[in-house]
Amino acid sequence: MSSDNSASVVTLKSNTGKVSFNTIANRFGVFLMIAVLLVVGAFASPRFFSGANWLNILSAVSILGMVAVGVSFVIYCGKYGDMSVPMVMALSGVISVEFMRYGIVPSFLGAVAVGAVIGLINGIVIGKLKVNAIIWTLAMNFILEGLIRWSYHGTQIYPDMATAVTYKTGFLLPLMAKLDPNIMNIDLTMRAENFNALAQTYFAGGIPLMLVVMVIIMIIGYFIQSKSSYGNKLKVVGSNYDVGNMSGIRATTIVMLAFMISSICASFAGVFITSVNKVGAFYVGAGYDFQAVTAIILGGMSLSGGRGNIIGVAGGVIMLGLITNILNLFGVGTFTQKMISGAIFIVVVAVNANSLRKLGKDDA
Amino acid sequence: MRDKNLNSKLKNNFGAKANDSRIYIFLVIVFVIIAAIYPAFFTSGSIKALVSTSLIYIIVGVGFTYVMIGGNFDLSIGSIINAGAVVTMGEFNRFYKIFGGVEGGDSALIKAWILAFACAIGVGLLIGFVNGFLVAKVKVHSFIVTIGMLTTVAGFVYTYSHGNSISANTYSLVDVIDKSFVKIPYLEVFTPRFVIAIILVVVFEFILLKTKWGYDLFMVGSNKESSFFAGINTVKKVWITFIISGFTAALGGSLFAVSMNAAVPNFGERGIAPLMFVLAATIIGGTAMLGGSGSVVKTAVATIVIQSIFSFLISMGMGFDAQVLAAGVVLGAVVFFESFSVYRQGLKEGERPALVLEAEQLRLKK
Amino acid sequence: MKKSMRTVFAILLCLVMVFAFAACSNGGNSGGSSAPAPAPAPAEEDADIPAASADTEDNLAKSKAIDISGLKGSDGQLLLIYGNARPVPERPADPKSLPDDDPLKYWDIEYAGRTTQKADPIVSPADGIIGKKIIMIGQSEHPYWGAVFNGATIAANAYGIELTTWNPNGDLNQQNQLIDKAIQEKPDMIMLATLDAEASVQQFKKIYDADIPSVAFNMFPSDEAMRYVTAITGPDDFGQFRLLAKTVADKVGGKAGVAYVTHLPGGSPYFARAYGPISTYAQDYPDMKTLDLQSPGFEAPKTKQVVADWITKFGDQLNVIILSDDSAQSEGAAQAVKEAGRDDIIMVAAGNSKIGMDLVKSGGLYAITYQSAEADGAIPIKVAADYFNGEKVENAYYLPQAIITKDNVEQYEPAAW
Repeated sequence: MSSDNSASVVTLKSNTGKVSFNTIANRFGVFLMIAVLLVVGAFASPRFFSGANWLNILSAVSILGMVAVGVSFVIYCGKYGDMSVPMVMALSGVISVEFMRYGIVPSFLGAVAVGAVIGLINGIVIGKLKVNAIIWTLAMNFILEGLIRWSYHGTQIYPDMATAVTYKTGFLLPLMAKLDPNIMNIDLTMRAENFNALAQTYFAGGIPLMLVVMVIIMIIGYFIQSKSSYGNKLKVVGSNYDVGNMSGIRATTIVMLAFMISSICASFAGVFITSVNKVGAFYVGAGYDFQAVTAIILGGMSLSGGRGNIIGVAGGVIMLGLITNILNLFGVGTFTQKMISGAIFIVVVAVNANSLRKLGKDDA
Repeated sequence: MRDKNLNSKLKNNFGAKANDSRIYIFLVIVFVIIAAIYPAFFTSGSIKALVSTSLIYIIVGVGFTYVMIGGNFDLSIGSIINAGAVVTMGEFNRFYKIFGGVEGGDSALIKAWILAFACAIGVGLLIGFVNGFLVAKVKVHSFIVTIGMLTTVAGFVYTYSHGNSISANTYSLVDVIDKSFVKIPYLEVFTPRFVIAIILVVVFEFILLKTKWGYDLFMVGSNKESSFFAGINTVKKVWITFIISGFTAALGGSLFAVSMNAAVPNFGERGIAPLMFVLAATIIGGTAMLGGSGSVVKTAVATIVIQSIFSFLISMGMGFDAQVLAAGVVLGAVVFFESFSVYRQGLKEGERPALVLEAEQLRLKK
Repeated sequence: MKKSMRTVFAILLCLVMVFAFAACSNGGNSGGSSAPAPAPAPAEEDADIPAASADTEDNLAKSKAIDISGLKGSDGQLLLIYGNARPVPERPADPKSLPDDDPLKYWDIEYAGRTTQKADPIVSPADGIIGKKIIMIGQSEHPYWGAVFNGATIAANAYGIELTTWNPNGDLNQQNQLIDKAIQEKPDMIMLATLDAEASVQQFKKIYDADIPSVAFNMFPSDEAMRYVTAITGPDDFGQFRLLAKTVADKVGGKAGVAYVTHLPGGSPYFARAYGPISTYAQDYPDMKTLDLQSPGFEAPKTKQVVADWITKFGDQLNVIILSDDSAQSEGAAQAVKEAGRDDIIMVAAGNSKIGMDLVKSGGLYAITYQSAEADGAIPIKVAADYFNGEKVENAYYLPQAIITKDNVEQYEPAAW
């Protein structure tokens, strides 16, 4: 493999004058696609470039964006994906509704704490005991789904409603009610309004809070992943676990932290999606696991780990929003949309993989 | 005396052995527990119900196991199942009309069914071919290719069926496909669909264990590079595993549709999707996540075990929450156990037990 | 060689075990069930044994004395409420070949079973409902279903029925298994909310072949299946949406651009809740124009994007949005409309969940359909009671059709689920 690598490096050097398609595809990847989509979008509707449309595109993908940042850490360290994302989102959602009784900040903290605990469990099992990530997180997803359904008996929890059974079912609510019977008498109207307002808070010019949070998470994620020493270690571990381990990096801890980050990001997304839905239930996060992987891969991150960055992930997330937006503007039906977006995904990824191979950057 | 002791110590890899045949141990444990708590579970009727529910997963699991032995994933099976189902029903109706419908008599029926199955399997083979091409030839990660294919094929299924479920215009085959050959209790499970599944499992297990092709596949799965240097066409091997997976998924889907005389475009979008079920069964059945080992028979047995647990929980009056929780706990425990045994093996790496024993005995003599 | 031998051995072992357990369980089972089994059997067959017939008559009289028409659901409202069956037009020769906006195209879904002649119905023993064993199989674990089973349980308790409820969680394969299991249990009746109208033929036939009467509730099976079913009950989805469509059209003066967010493709709600209004408009309101139709699923962010895209694309042409779900879909759509400042867009949806009711009150939704989940579960029990009490059973029973708007929303409080 190494001989392959050096050979292609030589050919690249000798061709520095010419910029090949592969180099462009490799370097700009998803942004090239976005540029193409922008051109297509211009034909879709005269209002495509309006601010309102762009706000719509961005706010539509902001929950996905939050999840994708977290999952990108897992993929970056070479662990394929975090299948427990949907249920971490759902669980954080119901926990945030349960904790809302103490105010918005405790509600957020509670949700994130629960996410962190699940991330910690995932991290210990996967990082320390080296259990296969996909299967373990899938098992975790099943377990959490079972727990949420079992504790809620298949019902859902509304922020502003407390009936006779509300304090008898629930994840932590019965315990909370036992410890502090006063919470049963709290007037929920105000607090529920505050909670539901999370998704409908707008800043200057109608920029939703969710979008701002996504951007902040992305910026923080970028610095952790690409600028911090943790990020460097993560990259080494992602490219080669054993090399990382032998060069004095505590690979197990690095992997563990990656899963914690993933779960914490999913918790944020879970709180917001629950606020959008105005109801906490086991089904709110369904599908976000694969969608996040799709966005991340479109963004040029490699499933084998160690390659890509958050800027690419942001590009992938925006691209997913753009595709749906443009197809909707063209009036393409849902069924055809599925086919088109699936095909685009396959082609983009195939071209990307092919160019990486031609450039000798991938050992696949 | 010494030799015996040494041998027993050398052979003391019970953990690895237990891990190897864990699914049979698991099967015994599950059945014993169920028999202790709910003996009515083992009536002829419920065994038949259990088996006929598992059949689709068993059939689809054959190809899925092959792909995984080759070191890849096929996440698109859920969509291929639906594609196989709707194409079978849709094409049957079309051909039946062409051959004259009711006036065409039995020959029209038979011809139409054969062509419909051929179309469905053709679609499955085609999807598998494309998957295999992208994974083996273009070298895109299988996880990604098949996620993309999952969406694309789902779109195709909805477009083909207009979002509707399709039923065949006759009840000719549905009465046959799940009808027992014999009316003896407990042998009732032998329906045509069951026999097809058994034949598939046996044939593909035979190929895995008894042919050079099978040996080579194990080698490709465990180490692609060394098998390449050993002169194995790794590209072709991986490609074929995907085609097999497309074939079994489409066949499973069309037989499922025939057994209900209806093809549903969105089967598996809710509940535990066939993908998750088959994935769990394959892993619990002992197929290695990263390829190189596995068995079609064990996947089938694991399917029966998981379905038994579900069925048992329903019988005990528990809901879906308990089922999904059980699935998670079992899956988690199995991967945990597997990693633990690998971890223990890792600790022993480079250890030379014979020498250690000799040294110990020397020390004791002194 | 060794490996395959081991495999074969293991399989043989498994088979032996199954047989062994089977043998035990058979022995145990016949011993256990022999005691209660003969008791009802002579009562049904040998009516001339005086004691038994007295028992039967006693049970029948007692059963007939139970009146649940005044029973209240958990929301304090009447549990049993019926709607009127709409008149059935004549079935066209080949409905599927008609254009999409022809109301008769959906005849097979809309009027399934209403005119079917039952070949050879299973005759009621007419020995009273009390003590009957009924198994009810639902669709999924959506909160709606919790309410359905709740309503069924309330009614069943009033009748002294031994009711078991099962849930396949939206999985057709698991539902088939539940049906097999239910048949094994040999109940007096099976109630099934099929997951797929076409697949239901096979499901109901299986139950019919086992000589067990069945009721199709919540979701109407296809016409063919009706030959095997005692009765169908459930919401008249098409009727509700034709009514809803008319309400909206009258509100906007019969002239508007309409966009549809559909139910999940593959079931009758998908057609009823999108093509119901579309075909109604094509027939009666030619100026109600269909702009687009999308299926983003039951997810607020995705629905929000679709609606926002529509607002971008159609601008002022878009006046009405018809949604298939009043929770997540409506919430997403309401937020998109609010963000775009398009309060003039009129939105209507199906169902009456708490979120939908709140949206009606706050003005986010103009109207929703009324569908009592508890009545959905209770009506089949009432049908079973009529059947076992030897009274006449109709082909179909519908939930009432009603539209909830801001004016009458208080009457329907609190929501059932």
